[in-house]
Amino acid sequence: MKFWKILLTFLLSAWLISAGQSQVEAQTDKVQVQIRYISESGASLAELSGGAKGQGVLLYYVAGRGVDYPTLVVRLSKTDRASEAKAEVYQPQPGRDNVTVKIENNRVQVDTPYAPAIVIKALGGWWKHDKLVNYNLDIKLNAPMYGMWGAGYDPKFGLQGWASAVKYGDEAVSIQVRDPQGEGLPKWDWRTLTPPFGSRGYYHTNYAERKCSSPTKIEQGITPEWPFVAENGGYEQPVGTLLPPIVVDWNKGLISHFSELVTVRNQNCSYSFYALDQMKAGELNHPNFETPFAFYDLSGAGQGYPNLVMRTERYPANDQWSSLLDASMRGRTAPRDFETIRYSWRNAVGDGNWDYKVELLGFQPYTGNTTVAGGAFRVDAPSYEEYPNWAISKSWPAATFVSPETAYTSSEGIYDWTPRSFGVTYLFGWQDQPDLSGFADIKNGLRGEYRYRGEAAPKLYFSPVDNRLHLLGAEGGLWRLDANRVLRLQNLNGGNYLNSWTVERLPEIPAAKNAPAQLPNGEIEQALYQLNNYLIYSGPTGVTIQKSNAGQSLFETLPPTDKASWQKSRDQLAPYTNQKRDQNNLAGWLDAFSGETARLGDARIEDMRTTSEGFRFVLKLGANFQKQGTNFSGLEKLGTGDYAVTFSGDKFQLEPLTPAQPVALLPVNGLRQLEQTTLPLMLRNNGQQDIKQATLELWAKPIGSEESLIVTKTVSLPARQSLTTNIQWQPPLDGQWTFTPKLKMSDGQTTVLAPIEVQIAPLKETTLPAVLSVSSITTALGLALAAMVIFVGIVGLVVFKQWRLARMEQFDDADKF
Amino acid sequence: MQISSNFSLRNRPVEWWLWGGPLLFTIFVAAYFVLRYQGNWAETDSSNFAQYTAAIMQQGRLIPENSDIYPNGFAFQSISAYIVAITGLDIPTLQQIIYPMLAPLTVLPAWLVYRELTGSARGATIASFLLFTQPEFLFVVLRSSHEKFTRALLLLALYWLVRSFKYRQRPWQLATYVVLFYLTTFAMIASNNLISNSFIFAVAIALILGLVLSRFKPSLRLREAQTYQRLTYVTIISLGLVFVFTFYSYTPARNEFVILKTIWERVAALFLDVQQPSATSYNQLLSGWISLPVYFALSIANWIILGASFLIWAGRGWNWFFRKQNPPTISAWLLWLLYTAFAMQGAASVVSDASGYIGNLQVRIFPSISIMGVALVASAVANWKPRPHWYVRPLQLGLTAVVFCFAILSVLKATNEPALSNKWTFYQPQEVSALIWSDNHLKNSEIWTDFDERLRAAFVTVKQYSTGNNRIAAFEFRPGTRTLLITDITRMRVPRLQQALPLPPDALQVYDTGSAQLYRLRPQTPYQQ
Repeated sequence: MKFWKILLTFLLSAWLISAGQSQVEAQTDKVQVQIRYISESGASLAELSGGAKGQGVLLYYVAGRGVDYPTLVVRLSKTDRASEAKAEVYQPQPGRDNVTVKIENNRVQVDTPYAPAIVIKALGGWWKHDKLVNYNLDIKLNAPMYGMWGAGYDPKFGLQGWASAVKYGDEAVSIQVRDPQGEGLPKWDWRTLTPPFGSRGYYHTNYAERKCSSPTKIEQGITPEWPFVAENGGYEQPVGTLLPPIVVDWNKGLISHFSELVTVRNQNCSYSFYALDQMKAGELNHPNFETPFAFYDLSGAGQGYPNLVMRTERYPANDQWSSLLDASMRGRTAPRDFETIRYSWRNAVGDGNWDYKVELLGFQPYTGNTTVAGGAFRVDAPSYEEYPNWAISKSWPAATFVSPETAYTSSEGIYDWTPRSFGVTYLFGWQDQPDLSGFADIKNGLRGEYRYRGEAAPKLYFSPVDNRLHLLGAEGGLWRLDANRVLRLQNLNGGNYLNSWTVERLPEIPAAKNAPAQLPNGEIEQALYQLNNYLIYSGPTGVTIQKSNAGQSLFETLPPTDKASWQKSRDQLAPYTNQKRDQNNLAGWLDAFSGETARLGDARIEDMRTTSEGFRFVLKLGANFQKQGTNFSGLEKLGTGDYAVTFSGDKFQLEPLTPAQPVALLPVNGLRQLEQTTLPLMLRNNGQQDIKQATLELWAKPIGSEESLIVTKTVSLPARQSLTTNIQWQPPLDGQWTFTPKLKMSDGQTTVLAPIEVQIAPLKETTLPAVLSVSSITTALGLALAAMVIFVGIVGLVVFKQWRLARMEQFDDADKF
Repeated sequence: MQISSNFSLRNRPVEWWLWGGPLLFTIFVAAYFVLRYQGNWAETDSSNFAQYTAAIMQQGRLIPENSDIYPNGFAFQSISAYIVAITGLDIPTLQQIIYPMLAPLTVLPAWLVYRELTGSARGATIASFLLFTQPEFLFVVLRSSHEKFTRALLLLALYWLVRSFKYRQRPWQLATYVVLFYLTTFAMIASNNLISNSFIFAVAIALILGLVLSRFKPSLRLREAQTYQRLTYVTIISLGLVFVFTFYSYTPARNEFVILKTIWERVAALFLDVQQPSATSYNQLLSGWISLPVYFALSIANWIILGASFLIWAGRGWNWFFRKQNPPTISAWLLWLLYTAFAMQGAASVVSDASGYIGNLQVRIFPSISIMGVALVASAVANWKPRPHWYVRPLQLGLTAVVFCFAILSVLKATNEPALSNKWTFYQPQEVSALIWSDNHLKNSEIWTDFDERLRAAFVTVKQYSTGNNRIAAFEFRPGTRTLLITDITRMRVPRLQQALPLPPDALQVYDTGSAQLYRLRPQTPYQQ
C-alpha cells in the first residue's frame, strides 16, 4: 500500500510539473538551442504573451547542457494592478557560461547578485496579440552589450567601444520604442547611453524614426510566442526584415547585441541622429555630431533602400565635443556653428548604389524646433521634410562633388572627398592656407571636384565638352582612371567652369613604405582646354586648335530635394547617359563640335595658363612639324622651334621662347634686433619661360657667423611678371646681414640670385631702474625693503643669540633609545 | 617673556624668541612679498585655485558641474569659499593679499615637530629658520594654493605622530595624540590626497627600513616593539583613509586617477606625488635667471642643506651601523629613518619623471627632502658643543651670516624678484584692465598675452572666467591666434628673454590704454574676417 501511495504521489507530481511546461527547439547559426517554458502561475506562454496576468520563465539552453544550465533566462510577469507586462532577461554572470537557477515545483529561482541584464516593459500589458507584436516598449540594458552605436562586438575579442567600459549590473542604456499606430512595426527608437564617460566622446543618444513605409518582414526569432530573441543578427537591421532585438552568442554565453528596432539606414525613409550628449525630455535640445542623419526615397517606389542620404556632422558653437573635430583643433572648440552635410543621391530607385554626392561645409546655425519621439523632446535641427531644401538652398563656403564613374555601393552614401580635408583650422580662420593634400588623389573610378573660395549654393552644371555633371565654381578636380593614370580637371581662370582636362601618367610610386604623402603630378599625355571660345587639344596626334561654340554649360541644376526635382534631374540627364565622352581619347571630344580648326603635327603645348585678356602657352614644334586647316591670325608663320604664344583680342601672338631669368630685390630699412618684421622679397622673371612650383629659399648670414635658412616657400613666377612674397622674420642679432635668395626649379636645378645686404639695429636693453619702476611703486618698494631689513634682522639676531644658550634641554626619558 | 607647559619636554620654560623668532621672520617675509608687488602678483596654481573657489561659490556645490575641478582635494577651495562668504572679501584679495599673509601658519607646526625630532628648542629654531630659507618651500607656503595648508597639516601630523610615540606609556595622552593624528591626516588628505599618500608612503618606508635594519643590527631594535606596531597601524589606517577619499568620498580624485593610462603612472602618482608638472609657475630653468652665478647664488641654500644633511645622515649611519654607537633618542632614530625614506622617495620621483631636467629636479626633490634635511642639520648644529677656543666665536658669527644670507637670497628667489629673475610673476592693474576689456569685446577668440602665463594667471586670478568664451593664450604663438595684447611690461621682457614679440608690423591696432595695446592680425582669407 505504501508503495502505491509513493508511486501515485510521484506520478501526480510529474504530471503537475509537466502540465506547466512546454519545450521547443531552435537552431541558431551554429548552436542548437532548446527552450523550456515554466509557468509559475499556471498561465501558458501564449496566454501570458497575449496579456494575461501571471508569471512564467523561459529558459534558453544549449542542447546537451540541460535545462538546469540555461544561457538565457527570461522571466515574464504581469501583476493584477500593472498596466504593463514585464520581461526580465538574465544572462550568465561574468566568468560563467550559464545562469545559476534552481528549478523546483514550477518555480525558477535565479541566483545572481546582479540586476537582470535587460528589463523590458511592454506598455498595454501584452507582448504579442493576433500575430501583432507590441513595440511600445521601455527597455533598460544593465549589462555590457552592443545596444547603441559606438560599441562593437567581436566573437573573438568580445565587446568593444563603450560596451567594454560598462560593468555588469550598471545601467548602461535606456531605450524607448513606440508603435503609436499599432502597426506591429516600431515607428521610433530612442536610446540613451547612461554612464557619462567623462572626456570620452561616446554617442549618448541614438534616435531613429521611420518616415515612410518600406516592405518589411517581421521575424519571430526562436520563441515566436515571445518574439524578442533572435536566431542570429547584429546591431543593424537588414534591409526588408525586422529581426528580434536580443542577439545571444550562445558559445560565449552572453547577450552580444540589443539590435536597433527602427533601422536607421536600411529602409526607404528615416530621420535619425547620433549625438554625443544625452537629450533632455520636454526640452529643446541642441544635439551635436550626426544630426540629422536622414534617408529619403525621392522615387516613391523604394524597396527598402533610400535614394537620397543626408549625413550631417554638426557642432553648435563652442560645443565641448567640437574639439574632437580633428587633431589640429588642439583642444580648441569650434568658434562658430559648424556642419558638413554629405548629400548623396541615386538617379534611379534606391538600390544601395549612388550616382552623385555634394558635400557641403559651412557655419549655418540651426534654428529649428523639431518635435521628435512622439513629442518627448525637441531638437533645433531642421525637420525631416525641410532638411533637403534647407541644405541645398543655402550658400556654403566649401563644397565637394563626387561622381562615381563605376558602381559605388554603401548604406550611408559616398564617403570620399569631404571638404573637411581643407582643414578645419583653415576654415575657422586659424590658418592662412587650405590643405589641398586631401584632394591629391581619389579612389579608382571616382571623379571628384572641390571649391573653397567664396560662398555659393551647391549648383551643378552639365558640360557639353565631356557630357558630365560638374560642380559650378569648382576650382579643381580629379578622376582616377586606373592605377597609373588620372584625368585632372582644372579651372584655369577662376571662373565658374572647369576648362582644363589633362590625362596624366603618374610616375612610378615607390613601395608603400616610401610612398610620398601626396600624389605627384604626372606626365601629361593628353590635354584639352576650353578657353575663350577655343578648344585646344595637345596629345600624341599633335595639337588641334578649334574655334568652337560648344559653350561651357548645357544646363545648371541643384541636387534634387523632392520627387519633382529628382524626376526633372533624371529627365535632364537621360539623353546624355550613353553619350559620355571617352576619357581615354580627349582628341575624340572635339569631333562633337564644329568650327575653324588648325591641326599641327609634331607639336605639343605646355604651360597653358590664362591671362587677363586671354590665355598663354608654350608651343613646341618639332622637326617634322606640319600645319593643316585654318590659319589663325598670328599663327601664320609657324616653323620648327619653341614659342611663347599669347592669345588676346581674338588674335594669337608668337614670341621665341627664352629661358626664365629671375631677379630679386629686398627694399627694407629700419629693422631692429628681435623685432618681428616683414621682408617684402620682390621676384621678377625677365624670361619667356614660366617658373612653376619652384622652391624659394631665403638664406641669411650675419657677419662672422654661419648662414641660416629663414624661409622655404613654393612660388610660381610667370614669364615677364613680378611677385612680392612677404616673409616674416625676427632678426636674432644686430649688425649687417646678407640675404641670398635661391630658387630650386621643379627640374631640380638651383638658381642662386644676387645677395642683398641689410642693416639691423641693436635691441634696446631693459634697465634695472625700469624693472623696479614697473614692478612696484616707490612707497611700497620702500616698505618692502623695510620688511626685508626686519626679517633679516630677526634671523641674524635670533640665530646669533641662540649660540649663547648655555646647554641643551635634556632628553625626555620616554624618548631614550 | 617665557612660556611653559607643553612647549617643554620636561616642563622647562622655553625662551619666547626661540619660537617667536621664526614666526616673526615669516610674518615679515609675507609682508615683504605682498608689499613688493602691492598684491599684483599671480602664478598658475594660485590662479587655478581662484577658479576652483569661484566655481564652488557660483554653484554652491563641492563638485561643480561643467567647471574646472581640482581633482586632488577640496579643502583649500572650500575654506576659501567659506572665508569669502563670511568676510565679504573678493577672491583676488584673498588670493593675493590674505593668503600670503597666512604663510606663518606653517611656522608653529614646523617648530613643534622639529623640537621633537631634534630634541631641543634651539634645534627647532635653527631647523625652522633653515626650512623657511629653503626657497622651494618658502614659495609654496607664500603662494595661494592648497600647499599652504597641506604642508602645515603634514608637519602637524608628523608632530602628533612623534609625540604619540613619546607618550606611549600614558594612555589618555596617547589616545589624544592618536585621535589628533588621524584627524590631521584626514584634513591633509582632503587638502591633497597625493601629497598625503606620498607622506604616508614615506612613513611606511621608514617603518620597513627600521625593521629591516634592526634585523641586521640588533642594537637598533627599539625597547618596545609597539613603536613599529604603531607605525604599521598608522600606515594601514592612513592608506585606508586615502583609499576611501580617492575612490569613494571625492569622485574627481578617482576620475583623475583612472585617466592615468599605465600602472606605472598610477603608482608614481600615488606613491611619489608625481603629477603633471605645473612648474611653469616657478620655473627653475637656468634661463629663468639673469645669469648663471645669480642662479647658483639664489639656489645655494638648497644645495648646502642637501649636501650637509647627506653628510650628517651618512655619518650617523656609519656610527650606528659600523661603530658601537646607538641613536641617542627614538626621535633621532626616527628622524634618520624618515630622512632616508623621504630621500628615497625624492630620488624615485626624479627617476620617474621623464622630463627630469635640472629645474624639475629641484621642484621634485627639495620639498621632499628639505623638511627632514633641515632637521638633521639643525640637530647637528644644536648638538655641537665646542670647547672654548679662539675660532669658535668667529665660526658662530660666520654660521649666523650664512643663515642671514640664506634668508635674503631665498626670499628673492621665492618671490621671483624681477631684478634677478626672468620669470616675472607681477603685473600692473592696467594690463589686466586691458585684458578684461578685450575679453568683454571679443567672442570665441584666442588672445595671446605674453611669453609665459604671467598675464593669463593674472586674468584668471582677478576674473576667473572669460565672459566671451575667449582663450587667454601664452607661450607659443599658435597659427590660429589672431588677437594679441601687448603691454609695456611684455615689451620689456623681449631683451631679457631674447625672444621677439609675435607681432607682425602690419597688425591692426584696435585698442590702446597707453601701456597696453590690442592688435588684430590682418585677414588673409575670407575665413579670417
